[in-house]
Amino acid sequence: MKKYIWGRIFRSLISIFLVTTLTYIVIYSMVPRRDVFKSDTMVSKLRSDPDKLSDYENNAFAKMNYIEYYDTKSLVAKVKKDSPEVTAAVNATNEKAIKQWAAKHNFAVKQFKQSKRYYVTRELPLYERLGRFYGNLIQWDNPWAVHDKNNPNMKRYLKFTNDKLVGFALVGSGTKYRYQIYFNSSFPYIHQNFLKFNLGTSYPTYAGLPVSSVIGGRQGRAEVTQYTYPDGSKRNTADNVYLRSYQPKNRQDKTEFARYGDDYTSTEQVLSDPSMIGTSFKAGIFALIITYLISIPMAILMARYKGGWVDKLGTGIVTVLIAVPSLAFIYAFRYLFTTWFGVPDSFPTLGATAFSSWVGPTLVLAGLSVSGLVIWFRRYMIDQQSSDYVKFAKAKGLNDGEIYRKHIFKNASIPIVQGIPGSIIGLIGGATMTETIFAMPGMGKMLPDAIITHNNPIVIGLVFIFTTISVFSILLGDLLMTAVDPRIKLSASGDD
Amino acid sequence: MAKKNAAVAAEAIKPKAVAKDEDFVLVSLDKKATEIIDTPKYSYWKSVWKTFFANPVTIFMLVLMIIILLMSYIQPMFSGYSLLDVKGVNDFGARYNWPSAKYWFGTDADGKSLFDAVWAGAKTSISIGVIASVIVTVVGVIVGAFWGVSKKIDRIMLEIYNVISNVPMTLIVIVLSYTFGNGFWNLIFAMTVTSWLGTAYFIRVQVMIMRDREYNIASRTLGTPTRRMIFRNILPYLTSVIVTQVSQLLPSFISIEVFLSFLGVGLSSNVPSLGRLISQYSPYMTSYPYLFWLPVLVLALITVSLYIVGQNLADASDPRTHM
Amino acid sequence: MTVNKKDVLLSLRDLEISFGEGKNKFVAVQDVNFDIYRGETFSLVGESGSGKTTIGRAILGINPTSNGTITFNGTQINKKLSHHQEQDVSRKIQMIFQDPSASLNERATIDYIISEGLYNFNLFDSEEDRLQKVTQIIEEVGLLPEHLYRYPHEFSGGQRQRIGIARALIMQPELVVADEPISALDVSIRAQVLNLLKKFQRESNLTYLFIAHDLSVVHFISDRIAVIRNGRILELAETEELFNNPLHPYTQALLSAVPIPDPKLAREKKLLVYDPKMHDYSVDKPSFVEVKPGHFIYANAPEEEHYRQLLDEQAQGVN
Repeated sequence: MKKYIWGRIFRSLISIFLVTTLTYIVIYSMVPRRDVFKSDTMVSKLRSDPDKLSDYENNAFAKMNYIEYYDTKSLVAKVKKDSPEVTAAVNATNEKAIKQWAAKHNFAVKQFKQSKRYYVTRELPLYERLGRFYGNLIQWDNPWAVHDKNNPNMKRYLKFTNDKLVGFALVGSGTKYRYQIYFNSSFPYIHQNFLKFNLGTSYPTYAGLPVSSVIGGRQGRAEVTQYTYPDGSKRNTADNVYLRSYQPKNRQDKTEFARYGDDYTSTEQVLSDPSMIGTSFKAGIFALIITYLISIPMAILMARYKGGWVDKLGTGIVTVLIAVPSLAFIYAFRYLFTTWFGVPDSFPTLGATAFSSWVGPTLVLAGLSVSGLVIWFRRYMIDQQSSDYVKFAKAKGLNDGEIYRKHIFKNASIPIVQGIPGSIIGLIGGATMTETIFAMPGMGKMLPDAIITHNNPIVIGLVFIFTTISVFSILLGDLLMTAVDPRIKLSASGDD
Repeated sequence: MAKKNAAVAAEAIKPKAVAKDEDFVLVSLDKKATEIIDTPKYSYWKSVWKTFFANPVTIFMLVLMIIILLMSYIQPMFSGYSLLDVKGVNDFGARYNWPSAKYWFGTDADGKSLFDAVWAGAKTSISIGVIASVIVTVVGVIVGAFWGVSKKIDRIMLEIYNVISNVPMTLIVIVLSYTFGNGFWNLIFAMTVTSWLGTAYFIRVQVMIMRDREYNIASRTLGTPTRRMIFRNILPYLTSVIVTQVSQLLPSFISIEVFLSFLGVGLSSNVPSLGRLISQYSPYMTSYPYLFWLPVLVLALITVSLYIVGQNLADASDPRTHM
Repeated sequence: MTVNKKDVLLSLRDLEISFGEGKNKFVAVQDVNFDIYRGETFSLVGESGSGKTTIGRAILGINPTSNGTITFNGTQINKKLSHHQEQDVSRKIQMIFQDPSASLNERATIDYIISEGLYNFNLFDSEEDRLQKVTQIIEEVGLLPEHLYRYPHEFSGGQRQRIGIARALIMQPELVVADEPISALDVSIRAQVLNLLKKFQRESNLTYLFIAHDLSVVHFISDRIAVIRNGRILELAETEELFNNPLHPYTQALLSAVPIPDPKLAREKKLLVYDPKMHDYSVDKPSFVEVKPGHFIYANAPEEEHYRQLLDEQAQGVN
């Protein structure tokens, strides 16, 4: 069994890898790369200055790993290693040296339109881009992560101490983040900074931000908390002290250094709203619970009074729910919720902090997957009702209620567990529409947003996250199945 | 009255006279006569139609479906609706008319008739749904059938399926239609390129259930080649399963098209579709609600009628319902 | 009936059939040896799970064999054959199935079902020729030409089984494996089907491998009978020999279970129960030995001695 689970995990990882790679290849080779500038306002601003524009565009392409790019200054610095006499000036000798260097390193030499100064670019082949993507994907923080010329005698350690600022934590020095593992009062109470996913840099929306912090970073307004600093001062600040990271000596602020007592003075702000992934996760979990709370009793009633009016009404509702396009469904229910419960029809109206903002999207999300589950549970219940053990129980003289309590419910845990992975995948699909229509700042809304703005790195990042979630929810579903029903053996070679 | 009837009945069954041996004539036994089947000839499709039309809900939905289909394909020929037509934009009398005898579904900001727009949009949406369903079903059924009978194909296809099926379908379609750019056939390609795998897998399982049935073994002993086994022995048994698949695929493809057009991914900007109408008119939900809700209503009627007709056809095509 | 004993049509040697691999390996049939002569009816009798159907299906190439050979007309057929050979063998060996309702394609007309083999091997010159062949065979099995355009579910069990026979025999096979062809039928029509099979044998010198689970059925039609249990043949002899001198305790037990259509005699009959523990094969290994010409039995040396003695006593008794 253990061997089987490891095998499954391995195959799941392969699945994620293949899907992400395929998406990467398809997007980066088929979407015209110039499309990224379609909705970029900088491009129209720079139109009057063609030199700056090409510099801007090449920088953008370089950020997205389309090309490798050196502007004049860094090019000269590079070429100097080979031929020290080279300068930035436009003349024949310099051009010769640069061309020589470029030929050696496979770069193409180009000149800016106005200034005629040299710059070089190199197309990155697809495999190299993919290699960079996966090579940088997982980032482990360690005491040898930071190298600062101005701080040669930096201490390098990891130790578990009672930190003056954050309490007990695994504190690092020489690491990128100060607190490798820390505890606080927010869910899930134990947090880490040593493992980070690097999914590239977002562009053109959220330009320059890492994709992982666009999707995983908190959103909304800054929130102020009071901390007691190591120097004894008490201050109200929006800085997220848990995420303190190393600030190079030459950019350090004296007062900050004094306040924290170490080099880890770079912080981000604490924001009020959950991240995109958090928003989707929150809505998704509650939707899943509501889905089950609605569909299980509904299916039981329909199965128990099979052929009766409850069953017929239920079947009618479910049929319509399946047939009606999700878009129409979402709009109709949003309208009903708004008029009945008075909840806002758009998430940002009251924001993430208001409970009522969550009611609409969560209920709609749940409603979308109810129909599928009801059909599945009802079928299962009916099969159970006509099974031999139920007939036997009837023959023994048990009444319907007893049979349901003592026999059918016990077995019902199997389809309930079986339905979970499917529901999660369904929720991901439904979230795209629901979040878009409710303008809810989650991953589901981000996908079409990223597509419309041609933000390829975000699209890849989201595909990666969605695939990971669904692959592992299927794995989890299968493992849960064996837990609730020991008769099921996954390792048996199934149907062939 | 009742008593009298009973008396008549009793009279009728009372033997007039006692039969004697010579009253009987010896008839030679016609062996062939015992083999004759008296029941009318069974025809599969005739029975399907009979069962299908026995349900009044089905007939109602069928009529609704036919009306919608006719309207979608004939009305646009006469209306000459164009999404880019802005003739009426300055004619205040033509703008924002509520539904009336003249404008059945009202008019929009450009003075365009919503009635024309809805049917032109429905035509695109239904066409996409039908074409995508046909492609997915044909490819899925054929691949699934061979997948189910061949162990060699099974091994490869199962790996491919395991990778693809893990990914939410909407995600794949959104990413693909983004990648291939906007356009009618691009959209169909994006919708079908991976979806056939789901149908194929479903058919594979059905074929596996069928393939070791005794009548298939009998065919094998008669030397029937795999291809004829699939088309003559297995697929005819799967008619109702295949119809069920189609009846689920059709609304789901229409739904996906609507959603993609709503997002602005998929069709090019000059092609009207229900999704585009819904997206375009969603800001009018409170000010001119007819502009938004009428396309939504038509969309719902299309998918519901197609789905219910399909489901009932699938039920009717299952010979167990013919008895 | 005169059977040319020299002319062996089918020969099974050391046949072993197993399912699964490794830990789950299950040997269904082992050390099976017998010959079937051209024109005879050879019966294989055993309880369910004894492996008799498995042997039948192995001959048709449905179940793969794990050891031993199956030789048909002098050619080994349980190996990779050339396309031509395979076609030839699959035409010449046909099968009649146990359950006539499960073995007919419910979605095809009788015309197609009977013609299926003809289509596969292109055994007709023209459409008229095919129709003529189909009409002829359907009349021979006692059905009417008008039945050709009907579907299997419109027929009774006996009629369906005759359709199954027609579809096998239209191929003009040399060997027909009949897998319990009458056990799913009403008692009233069993004789009808058996007579039909006999009729075809007389007319076209067919060879039958008849698989059955009780001896009473095969008594009527077989020339020779093999008794099989747990994948092994325990006794093989000509029909009369087996019924007169059943040697193996298992055969005796089977015979004691044959119903006697006379209540008085039936009351006196003693039902024998076979217990495989009665054999002590721990020291002396058994083998399939010929104790009398044409009479084979699975026994070890002391048992063989005992059986020979029994036969001698019986022979003296008769004299």
